[in-house]
Amino acid sequence: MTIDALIDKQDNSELIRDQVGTILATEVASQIALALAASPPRDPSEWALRVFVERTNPWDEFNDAPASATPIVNVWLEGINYDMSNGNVVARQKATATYNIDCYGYGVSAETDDGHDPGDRTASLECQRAVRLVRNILMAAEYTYLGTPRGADQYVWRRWIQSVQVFQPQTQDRAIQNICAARISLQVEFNEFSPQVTGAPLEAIVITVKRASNGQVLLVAQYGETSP
Amino acid sequence: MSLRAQAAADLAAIHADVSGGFGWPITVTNPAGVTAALTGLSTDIHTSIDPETGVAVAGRRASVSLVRAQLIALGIGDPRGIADSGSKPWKITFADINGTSHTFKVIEAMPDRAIGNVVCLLEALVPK
Repeated sequence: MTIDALIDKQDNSELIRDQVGTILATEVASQIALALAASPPRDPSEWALRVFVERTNPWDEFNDAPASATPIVNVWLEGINYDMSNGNVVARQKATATYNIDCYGYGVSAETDDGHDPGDRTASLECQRAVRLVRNILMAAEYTYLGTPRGADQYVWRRWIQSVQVFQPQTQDRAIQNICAARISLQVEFNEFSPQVTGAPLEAIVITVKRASNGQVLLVAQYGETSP
Repeated sequence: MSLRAQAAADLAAIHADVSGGFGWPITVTNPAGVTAALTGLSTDIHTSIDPETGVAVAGRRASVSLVRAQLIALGIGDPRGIADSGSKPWKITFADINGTSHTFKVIEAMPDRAIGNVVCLLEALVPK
């Protein structure tokens, strides 16, 4: 006996991963619009992020050492744990996934009238600015369940930022670009569902429940029938 | 002449050899704005930056080697990394092999007072 249905839907872990990326991209665009609409208008670059999902190729965006560059955010799934005590072996498994949201800040030194803006400091502050935006967006009340369905179709139960780790730039191979990175670990608890067996009718039985005048409960069964 | 003095002389000759060697025109500007046109050795090459996330960042590594005796003779001072944002940085300018000029800030200077050069590690600088 094999699974009789094609497995053609994404797992909830994949849906959540893509949803986190979508939320970040959507809200960044919204923040930029709000900044421009503010009175007086604010510099929209302070709310700009470039959002990627599941990327592993080296980032080449900073190679030309531009005068400024928008921080990069990369969402990726680190791992999933399944809680045997809160699911069942047949249909539903409670899962806890960790999504890493890596933020890359870029900085380049720039001369000023009286001195210069150090690029290493700029990179660090830009990185922390990206962390600030990501944390505020994902922990906003609007995204308590990461914008996933509620009610009968709900599958996300909780999202929580476990930690933020900022990495110190390596000093042995100094590059002309200043890059500072941080990692936000987002934990999400959700249900995963698995393919079920489609039952095949073995025999049709119609049962009518009756109560006799003395209160006795009687069952009238008709075998091989599909309706009374 | 001692071997050490000979080494220093050879170093200066190698740095100055523009026509037949790897010598290259380099402009040095100190925080006071004093500029000197020298010849030295320069590098500007790809490097891979490891931000410790597991995903590398493509970057560039640049450096110059200068003869300290020339800097001393010009009275320009010893290059060094300037962390103070209230001070101008040491600026190094040189062209790549295609003729495009690039300006850098000295982030770390490594003088060798035994044979007389100073290697300066550079980072990108947006000039005013």
